[in-house]
Amino acid sequence: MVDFGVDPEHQLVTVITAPWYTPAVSEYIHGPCLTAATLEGQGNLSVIKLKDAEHLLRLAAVFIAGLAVFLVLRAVLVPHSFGQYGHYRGDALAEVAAHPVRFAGQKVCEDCHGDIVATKSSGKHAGVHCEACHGPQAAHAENPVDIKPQLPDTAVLCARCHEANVAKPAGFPQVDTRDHSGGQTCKTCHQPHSPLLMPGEKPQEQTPKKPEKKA
Amino acid sequence: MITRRRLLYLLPAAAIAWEHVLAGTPELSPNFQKATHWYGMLLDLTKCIGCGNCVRACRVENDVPEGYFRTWVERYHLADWRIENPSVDSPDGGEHGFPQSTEIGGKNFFVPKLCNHCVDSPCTQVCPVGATFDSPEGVVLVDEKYCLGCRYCVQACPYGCRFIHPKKHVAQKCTLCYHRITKGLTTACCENCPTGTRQLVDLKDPNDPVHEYLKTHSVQVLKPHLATGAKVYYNNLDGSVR
Repeated sequence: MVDFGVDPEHQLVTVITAPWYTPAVSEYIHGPCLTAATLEGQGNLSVIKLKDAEHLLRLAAVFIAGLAVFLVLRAVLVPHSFGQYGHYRGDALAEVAAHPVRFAGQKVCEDCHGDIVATKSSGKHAGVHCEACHGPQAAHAENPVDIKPQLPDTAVLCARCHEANVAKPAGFPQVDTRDHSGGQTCKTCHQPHSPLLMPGEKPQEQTPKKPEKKA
Repeated sequence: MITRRRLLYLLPAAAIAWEHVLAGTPELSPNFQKATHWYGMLLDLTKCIGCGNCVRACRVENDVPEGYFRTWVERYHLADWRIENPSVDSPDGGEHGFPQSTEIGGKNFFVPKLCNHCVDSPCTQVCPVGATFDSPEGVVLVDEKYCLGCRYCVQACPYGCRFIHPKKHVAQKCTLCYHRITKGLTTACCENCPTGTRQLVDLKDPNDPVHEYLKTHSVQVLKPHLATGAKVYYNNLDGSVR
């Protein structure tokens, strides 16, 4: 008997007594030669009882204490909303959503400025939202009396979209601002909310061509 | 005896058993099924004029620090057939518009970019602390209180959509204006797009016109070969766009 679990000098064998440790399992793991029955039959089996169990209890106590520390630390360190929706802190959603809104949105503008919306709706700029030109107006919408929006400078504003550039879609109305207006601001001829030429103006080409073709 | 042969049988059996154990412990997500939104964005490149309104609006709305971008506009120039070598520029992210192209001829167009809010986002997979995540609405967000600023996600994003905030030292990115869309508003960039290039879409809303649009247009996502499940759809996307 010089195999698994056997101390050759003292002829001791540790017998596992767990319920799953049936003779069949024992035989499967250790082979047929070392089952308890075999050893008993050979007369050299002595089962160790738990007479020196103290060291095991100490080990168990250390393990349980460690587990308790882990659970306490986990409860303290992991935020309560972690895992609410997934592997992240659920409260973060509300925190991101708490960011202040700067652009009020087209609906809010339309609530008060119905006249402008009517002007716009028949013109080329019908699809352009108010704040695309007038900037963020949530503060103005909150307090329309004290906070007034600044009038945008059309010389800068119109050129942002309508300055000619070959990368722009061909059908988009573009001009070379240097030779289109002769230094006058766009507002002189065009009403920004409905930019087709004002009545009484000399009719011009409505969709000016790209500069390289003009020259 | 545990022979080598038996071990060969035992290991796969143990692996299958462990998979079974794991399958029985789903992650806590009681509200996930309740989410009735699944947001993405539609970008119609036939309409983009490179005005930079989206970039400026995003900066104002989201307090994006100067020199950093949550969305930006690129200008592509292709000479003839060399679609593998487009020349791309994006001066100040397109924030102040684009100067006239020096190279006339060939193909020229603008491509606005932003976080693709991927379904299988590489950035959330690499986060070691669970600070970046997919919201129940399909928006990829950053928990700034949890973020360590380790930059794994910045490296992982194949679209270059993340940066480290220079003051807060946490990762930041497009939130798809989460603070706006949860209030029923559209995003700041969509609100300010004068040509309607950008449209916020809700893929779980059966009445959203995006469903008809996706059926009737040649729509593509960026870097589809990476299988990130990008939800920013480009109409008329040129093959040269990276």
